[in-house]
Amino acid sequence: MSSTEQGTSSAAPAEPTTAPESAAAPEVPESFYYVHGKDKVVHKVSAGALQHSALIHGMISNLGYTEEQAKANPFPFENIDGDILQMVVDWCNQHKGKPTPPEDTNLPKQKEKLFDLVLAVNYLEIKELLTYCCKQVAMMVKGKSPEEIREIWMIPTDAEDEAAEKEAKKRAGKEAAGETAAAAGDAK
Amino acid sequence: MEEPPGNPKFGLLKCPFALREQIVRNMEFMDAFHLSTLSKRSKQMVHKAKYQTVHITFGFEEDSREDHIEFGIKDFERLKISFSDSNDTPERDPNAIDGRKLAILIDGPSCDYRKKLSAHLLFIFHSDWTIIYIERNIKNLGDIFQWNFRKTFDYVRLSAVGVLHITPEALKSILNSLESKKFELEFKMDDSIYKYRETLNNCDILNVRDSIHWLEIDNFLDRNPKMKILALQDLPGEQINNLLKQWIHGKVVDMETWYLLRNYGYPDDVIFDGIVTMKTKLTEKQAFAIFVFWDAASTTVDIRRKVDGKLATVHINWTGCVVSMCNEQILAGL
Repeated sequence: MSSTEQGTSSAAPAEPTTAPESAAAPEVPESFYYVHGKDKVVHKVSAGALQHSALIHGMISNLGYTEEQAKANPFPFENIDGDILQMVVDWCNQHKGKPTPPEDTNLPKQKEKLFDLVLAVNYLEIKELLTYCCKQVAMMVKGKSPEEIREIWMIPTDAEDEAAEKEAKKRAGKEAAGETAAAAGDAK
Repeated sequence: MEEPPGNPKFGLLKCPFALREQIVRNMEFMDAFHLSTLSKRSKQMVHKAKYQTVHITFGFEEDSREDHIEFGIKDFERLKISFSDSNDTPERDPNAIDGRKLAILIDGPSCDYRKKLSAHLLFIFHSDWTIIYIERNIKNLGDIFQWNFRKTFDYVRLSAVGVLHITPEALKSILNSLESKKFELEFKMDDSIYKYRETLNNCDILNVRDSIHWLEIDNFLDRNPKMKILALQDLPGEQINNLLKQWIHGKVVDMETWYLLRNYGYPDDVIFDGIVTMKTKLTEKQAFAIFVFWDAASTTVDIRRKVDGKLATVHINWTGCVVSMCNEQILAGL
């Protein structure tokens, strides 16, 4: 688990509580990076744990930050809720440097959070966790009837899709008309 | 944490396209089918997700009540859907999912349920192999199944456990309504006059056993330039000679091997009548590698194609006549 600290993105985060290093662990000190979500809570995460995220890994490779620079510039993920980012960071820490098992029991079980989690994981490009999340979403409808699937995944009927499309066209038309009128007003 | 009562909701359509598709690919087969029946948009979503199956096999059995479609799903799981033409439930296969019930879920004009369901399944699911096994005479295959996107199948087999007797009408209907990379045609045809003179579109492997007289050999290579492997049983020696001349005097085609099988082989003078042959350039070791049943005491000669000078090796032994047009590739592979 990583520790977190309330505050601004520049706040110094607490040290993470990581699993005790084994005797065979390399002597080279591990580098750490810092991330925060919508709630600005900064999470200190090791470079090893962040390897799981192709997005962050790419950012790190391009930036070439020193420890100090990394501390001063946490990666901001304003589109991810704090508790969701916490789950993701926890998962990355738990699976740091380990091959991921085919069935992951460490996956968060809260179904109501699954939507936000899967979007976050997709955005951060954490391939293995995304596979688990997608499986979990798929399992939500396992053995369900078509109407149950419609209800769970909120799939509109054709009639509803057509109505929504008409409504969107109408709205777009109104907006275009408004812009034309505004442009004409400006010209006058 | 306690689960809230009722089914939890998940706004699948609010997810980015690639994510939705990955979720669909992780679904169980029947769940993905059910999803595809909910709306036009959900049908497109399943189609675009490229849900992969190992094989889709249409089975037209001797008894049409046992017709079915079988899917090979991941992890060796198989799923059978009844395509029986019988409306009588007890006559339908109890081990198969009733295709009529699945067809009811699909939106669209009411027509033969098999037509509606087969088109839907072929549209939404992808497979490594799409196969058709036919074990009886079917004169209206195109009407029943309306392969409306003229799909190229991977393998079509016309054969039965016992002897299959096929009429010219059924054969023509089957070959004209299907395209396949491989055709295996094992049947007897009593009509000794009928000839199939059309092109087997996109076919690169043709295997014919039992009756062969229905296959028109004149201009065969011109009509079927994509053909790579021929396995023909009991083709008369004169027709093999005709085929060899077509290859020698024809255009460049990517033929690989002909297995023209007949017990006790063929007489050399019939096969090579009017053909210039040369001593083979293959060593014994190479010949043994290329021709599985190579017999040093039998005939092995080379022939040359006029247009580009390419060599082929013809070997005649007790199993029949084998022609290899791709010696270099085989030897390089070894």
